[in-house]
Amino acid sequence: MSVARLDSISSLAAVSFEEKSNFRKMIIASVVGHALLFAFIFILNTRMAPRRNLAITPGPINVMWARTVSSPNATPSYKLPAPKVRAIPKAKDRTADPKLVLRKRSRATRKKEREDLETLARRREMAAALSDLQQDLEKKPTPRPNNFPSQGKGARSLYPAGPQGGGNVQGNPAFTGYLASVRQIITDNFVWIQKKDQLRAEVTFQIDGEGNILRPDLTQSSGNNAYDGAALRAVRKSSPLPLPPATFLDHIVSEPLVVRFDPNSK
Amino acid sequence: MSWLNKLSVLFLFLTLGASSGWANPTGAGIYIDITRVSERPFPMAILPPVQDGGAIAQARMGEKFAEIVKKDLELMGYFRFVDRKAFLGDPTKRIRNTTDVDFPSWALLDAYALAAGWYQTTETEITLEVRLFDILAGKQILAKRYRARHDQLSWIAHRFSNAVFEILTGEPGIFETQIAFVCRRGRLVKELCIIDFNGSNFRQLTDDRSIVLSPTWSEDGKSIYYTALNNKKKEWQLYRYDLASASSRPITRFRGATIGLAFDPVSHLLATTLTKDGNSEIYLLNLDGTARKRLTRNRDIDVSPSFSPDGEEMVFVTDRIGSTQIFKMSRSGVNPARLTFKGLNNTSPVWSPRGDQIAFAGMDTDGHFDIFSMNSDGSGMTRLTYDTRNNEEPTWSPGGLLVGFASNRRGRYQLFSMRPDGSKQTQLTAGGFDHLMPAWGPRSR
Repeated sequence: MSVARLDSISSLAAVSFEEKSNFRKMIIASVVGHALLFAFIFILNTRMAPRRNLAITPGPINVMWARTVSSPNATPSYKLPAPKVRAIPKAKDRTADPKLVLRKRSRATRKKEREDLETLARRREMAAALSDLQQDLEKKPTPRPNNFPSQGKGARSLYPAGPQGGGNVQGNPAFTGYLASVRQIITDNFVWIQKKDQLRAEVTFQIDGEGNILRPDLTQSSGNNAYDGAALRAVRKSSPLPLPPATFLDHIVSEPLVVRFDPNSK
Repeated sequence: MSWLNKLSVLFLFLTLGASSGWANPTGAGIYIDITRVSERPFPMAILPPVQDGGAIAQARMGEKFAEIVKKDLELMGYFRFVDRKAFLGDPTKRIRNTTDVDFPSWALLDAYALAAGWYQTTETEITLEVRLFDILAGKQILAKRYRARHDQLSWIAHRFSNAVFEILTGEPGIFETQIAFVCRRGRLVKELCIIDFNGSNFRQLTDDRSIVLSPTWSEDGKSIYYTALNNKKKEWQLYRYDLASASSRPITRFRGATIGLAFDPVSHLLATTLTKDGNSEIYLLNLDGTARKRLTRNRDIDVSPSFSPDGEEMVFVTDRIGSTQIFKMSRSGVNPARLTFKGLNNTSPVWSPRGDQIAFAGMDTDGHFDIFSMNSDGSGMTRLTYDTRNNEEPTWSPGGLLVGFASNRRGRYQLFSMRPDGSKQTQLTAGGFDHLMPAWGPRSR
């Protein structure tokens, strides 16, 4: 083997050795650089990721991160909001329970109170309905009793005159409606066995400001005591009557009410 | 001014005052007309009479009395009794007068009237005092005192029911009446039987093993007339059963059948159909059974007469127009007028004691009979029974308060009662035999 070859070989070896050391340096430099890079990335991630607190805490914890806000007024706060504590309901005072108090009273008292409440509610409903009706009708002209326009002073009505105790309330639909409700109540209480008897009786009474029927009196007998008794019972049972609208109250309490019992009249 | 002038002025003053309406304000007031009656039944309460001393403890007699009165009045369909469970106060308290009655409490229970009382007993008798109070008026309206044997307690209760009914309705009650009818005791055996108005106290009156038909009461309620087939002579005869002696005897004997009996309230004679002249015609009979007068003369069948309460008119069944229809004519037999124009077979007309309605049986298209009513002029036909097989042979109670009839709606023919409008249908008899041809007796017993 020639020297040249040997020289080349040694030079090659020398070169190779030099290259190897440079390569080694390059490897080391690469490793160090990669390590630094990984360290930088690691540090960067740990700073950005939310922290996990593995310790047991009594209740939820809200963590507020700082962030860039555009509004100069908003101030990020790291203050933890107060935990929501569920209020413990207070024990009911059973002695004040209206149902318990009601149960302790006698059956008769409960029944009476219930009936009184029902009667009062019914009367209030009726009064409210009649008041509403009256308000609507006040916007319209009151119809004349004979439905004919006035024919001038002294003109005679074509119809026979009826009882004139009502003054200007006669013909008022609200007043008529109230009388219709009174008639229905008394009819419902008029219990009579025979349906086709030609009997006629009249009962007269007055009512007070509470609707109570005062002093029912048989002003015309039918000649049949049982029929007269049925008529009087129907009136007595109907007390108290519903209150009329306030507009008519004074008129109704000042006038006697005459109920004519005649089942066969048309 | 002399005293005479003063008196004159005073008289004039009072006269003017009266005419102005002070003493009699005719026309003043607010008028309300009641033109209908309520459909509600009359609500009342009854407290069992309380024993008030006595030799023998008969604690249950008061309860039994109250129960009988309650059933009597409820049968009419016009009364409703407050449930005893709702009673307030002490039910054993003796109520003798109005001061003992808590009227507001009873008014709270929606009771219009209250019956209460007390009784004393001996070994054989009971003395019972009962009061009836008007709750709304707050006063006593009836007081009765009865004394009878222990076994007559039902009779006392029925009498009190009559009194209560009359004081509250103005109409005498029917709680002491009886119903005579035909009870079938075999294939060809029909006997005369009788029950109280409510179906109790069943008794068989005859035991002739013949065929009894068409029982009808005498006007005084002491006898029952009926026709029966004499098995020996093979002929129909008219019989009269006397309730006092519990015996029957034949009155007359005619050729042919005797069908349908009715009393004429004017002549007090029996009207019936005889076929003795070869055709079914209506005759008036003397009470000894002899024929007094023939009322119909035609070639058609005329049967089942029934007089109006005043006796001026009579309804009957005839086929003179080709189908069996109900006609009306005067008591003299003239001016016949047709009343029914619907249906093909209308029979058994009976005139109400009130005179306003006629009940009859009509066959519908399904072949079953139903009870109908109509006005005395034939208008206002109303059906009273519906789709309950056969309902036949109507009979009016005294006063026209109830209608009795026979129906086989539950198998055998049984007797029923109902209100004139068809409501409150109540079965009166039961058992394994047919009960037919009811005839409601008068009030007097």
